[in-house]
Amino acid sequence: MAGLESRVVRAGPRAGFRCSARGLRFSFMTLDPTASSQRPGADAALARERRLVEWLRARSSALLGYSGGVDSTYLACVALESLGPDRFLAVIGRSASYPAAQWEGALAVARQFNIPVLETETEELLDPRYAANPSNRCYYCKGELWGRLAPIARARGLAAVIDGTNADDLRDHRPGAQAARERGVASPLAELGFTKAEIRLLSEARGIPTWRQPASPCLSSRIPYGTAVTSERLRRVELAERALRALGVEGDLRVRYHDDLARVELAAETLDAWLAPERAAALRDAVLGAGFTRVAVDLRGFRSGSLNVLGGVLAEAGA
Amino acid sequence: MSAEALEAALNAAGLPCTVEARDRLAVIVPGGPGTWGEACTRRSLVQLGREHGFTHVAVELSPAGAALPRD
Repeated sequence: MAGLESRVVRAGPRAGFRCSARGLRFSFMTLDPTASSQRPGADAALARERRLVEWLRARSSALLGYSGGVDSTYLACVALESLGPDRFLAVIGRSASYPAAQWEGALAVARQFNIPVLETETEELLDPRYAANPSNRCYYCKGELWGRLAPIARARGLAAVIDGTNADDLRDHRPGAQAARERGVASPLAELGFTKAEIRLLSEARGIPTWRQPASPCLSSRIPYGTAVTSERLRRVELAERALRALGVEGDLRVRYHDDLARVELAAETLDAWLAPERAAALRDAVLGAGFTRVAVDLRGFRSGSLNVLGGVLAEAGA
Repeated sequence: MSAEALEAALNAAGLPCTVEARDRLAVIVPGGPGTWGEACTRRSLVQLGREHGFTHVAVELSPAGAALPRD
């Protein structure tokens, strides 16, 4: 059994309200409701943020499941600003399904904003119900995650356990949300109606670098339902995506695992460039170097939840 | 969903290839020169794949020689 609390990466110093200071400054500069150059949707977003601050302060303290993604990073900054470093803790659950690049990014942002972060190992891959990769795989993963985070919150006297689920997420296939509900995890962004676009807008205003970061679900989302999730397969996918990033692929990217074949989903607007013969050859070689024996490029490009459609869990949009 | 029917349709359209079905994914393996990567071709291939029951269409990057050979 891995240690529950491996180490505190960075405790937020009392004087470390850079997130708060930056947020206020950018609020006045960019999202001031009285400004003439108001961004579309800024008023509603700011009003929602005020309600979020109230929501958090009403709980008095909170533990956040933190991944370094757009949503949880924004929520971490607002929670730190609202509650202070002694009454807020962001916790990263680490496993083979969590990309190392995202982990590095999560720690970098935490350092930048003095977010107090704790890391804990999760072992969802040891759960055969998860490893079998059913369409409700996320339920078992989140059950493992919150099953570890809730005791940390209790032990530290943190009143609320929260996650970064937003209102848009509620329209997607999210079996993990059920596991969160069962363990009393609250989703203030979803509850208060924050859309992804609003979170990006508010993050940009606060100078949070994740504001334009592509969505980054766990690596298991690259493996079709019914195909077992293993550490080796996750590693192969992760290596391939790393190699493609190193090659210069930007924006949305998924390397989908189909046994010997990697199906690469690129941002649709980049397909023309990457399918030119020379660049296609470089792309192919990068993926082959990660251990796949065949490489194919999806002709529609990136689609969020692509494997939900392939697996018949969701109908194709517009179909 | 029929890989054979999609393959026949593509060959009839002058795009020599074989097609492998992996559930609802069609993997097109180019068999010769073609304009597989061009935007209009991509759209047509996706549409053709959909007509044959595939939700996903991908084109393999050949392991030998130039990827996505063109005329």
